[in-house]
Amino acid sequence: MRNLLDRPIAEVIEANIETFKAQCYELYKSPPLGSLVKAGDIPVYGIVIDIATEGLDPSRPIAARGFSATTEQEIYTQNPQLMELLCTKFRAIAVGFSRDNLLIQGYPFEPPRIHAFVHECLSDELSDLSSNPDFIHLLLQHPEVKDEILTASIISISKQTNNREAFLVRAGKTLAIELTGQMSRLNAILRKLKQ
Amino acid sequence: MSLDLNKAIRKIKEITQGHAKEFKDRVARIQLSVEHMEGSTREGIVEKLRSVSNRPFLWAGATEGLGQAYEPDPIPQAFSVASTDGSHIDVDRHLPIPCALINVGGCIIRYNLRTKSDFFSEPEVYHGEGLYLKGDTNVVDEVYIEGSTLGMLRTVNEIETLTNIIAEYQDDSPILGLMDGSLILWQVSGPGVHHLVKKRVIDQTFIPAMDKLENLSKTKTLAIASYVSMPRSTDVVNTLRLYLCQSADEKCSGLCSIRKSLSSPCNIVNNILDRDVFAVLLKEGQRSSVFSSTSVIMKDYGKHSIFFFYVNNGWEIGRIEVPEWIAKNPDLLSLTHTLILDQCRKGLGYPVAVSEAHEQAVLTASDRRAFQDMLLAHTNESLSSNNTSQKVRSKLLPWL
Repeated sequence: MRNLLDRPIAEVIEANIETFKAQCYELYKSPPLGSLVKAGDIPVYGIVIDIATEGLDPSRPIAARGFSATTEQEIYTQNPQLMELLCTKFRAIAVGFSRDNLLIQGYPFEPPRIHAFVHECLSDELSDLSSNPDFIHLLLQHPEVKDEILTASIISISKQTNNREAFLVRAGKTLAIELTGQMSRLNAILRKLKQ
Repeated sequence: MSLDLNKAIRKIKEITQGHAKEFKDRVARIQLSVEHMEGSTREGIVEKLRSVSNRPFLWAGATEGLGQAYEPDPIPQAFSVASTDGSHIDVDRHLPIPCALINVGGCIIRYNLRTKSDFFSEPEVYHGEGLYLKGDTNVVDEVYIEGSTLGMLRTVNEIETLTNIIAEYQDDSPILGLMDGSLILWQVSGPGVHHLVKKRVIDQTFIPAMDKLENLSKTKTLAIASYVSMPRSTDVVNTLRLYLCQSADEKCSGLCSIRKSLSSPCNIVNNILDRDVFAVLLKEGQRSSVFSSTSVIMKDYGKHSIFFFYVNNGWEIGRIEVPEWIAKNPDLLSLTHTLILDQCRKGLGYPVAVSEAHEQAVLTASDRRAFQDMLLAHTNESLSSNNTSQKVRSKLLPWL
């Protein structure tokens, strides 16, 4: 039996060196905010920074349908076409790429191809990332990454690594260096990480 | 901008002021018409329809009083609704290769069923000999497919596709096949329409499709209908006009036109539409009696002649048309009423499946442009020349 992680969860629909956008195969089945995903046969690794569900056809506005429904599920049962006409998409910031089966942190030399399959990451790939928190530097530099997304990402990765404590200490030290002179910002992030 | 809005707005004001003046009179006449409809009896209607033969207007066949109203049944626990629609790109003589495209889109929406709903679209390109409808034996008996003929061929494709998806439907739950617009294809019997068009649309498509669907209905719970939004028909008010008319056939022909009557009391329905009276007669969810179409094209429909009724879906009065075998089967008739009403409620006034089929079929301006661009690009590639007209070039580059 194939491991569930072998199955792609999404497909790349937009890509550049810094970010890629993917459309999920199942509605509302996006990897969570801050999680690590990989796209393509020679993977580009990315951290999820935004998730959105919208109509497949952008020219069609979505209207409220629950006037007589008592539950949210009832709306979907009464309008089964919604499951086929809505889609969930997410955007990820590239934080690394694969070379000789190793995760190298940094922007890839080429973006993932359009229609590249997107998978959730295996635990050894998460270990590669967590062993060296350079990706925090990349995230902090990206104008779209808010501190909440950075925190979500660190928490998400920490939950999946073998040695959570050690990873959080390394992440904290990296943050302290990166945010020199921004004490209140650093404290706010660290407080979040402690929760 | 070439439209002078200042001039247009003056005309619009005149038109709307005229409408407001007529409004009060119309409301009073609609109310009076409704009272006559409610007072009409089965015997009176049947007797009147039997005694007249020739009038200058089209009326609806009826077998009961005109003012009846019926409630829908409970909605089945699980069911499906299938629909198809079409869009086309006509032959453009400014392009290097004459060709046309018909895109048929459709859907089958499954309610409370395990199988997922399906959405699809299928383009078909016509060119060369494929752009001609041909007779069976006579080689010169042929008609070029463009303009309204292409539109009729599109209807053919929509009907065939709907029939095929219903034939492939495997579930035990009921299915409704729903089309957009009228099943009364009167256009094919109009003046100037080539006999091959009528043959292709009615004899070779509509009738075989209805035969097939009627056969399928023997093994599965299947209803077929079409939905006309904001219908402009006057068949039923014309039946009332006939019911009220106290003149003989010959006299009526001198006093009445297809649109209005000059004599009382039948002139109360002048400029009133069926939907006006049913908006008063029907409460939300109710349907009218079933009426039969007396359109001249019905003689070509054989056993599948078209019946119709009106439904108040809460947003508008819609006209539902069904073939005879649905109209005369109380269970299927009621299922049609119930499912279409449910579709309209889910679609906020318009059937969801019809709306989704349209979305699958519709060709946007960019689709049309892409088709033209691809055709030009491939022609240039294979012929090494640009064969588009200078008129097209001038439209593409409107230089100053």
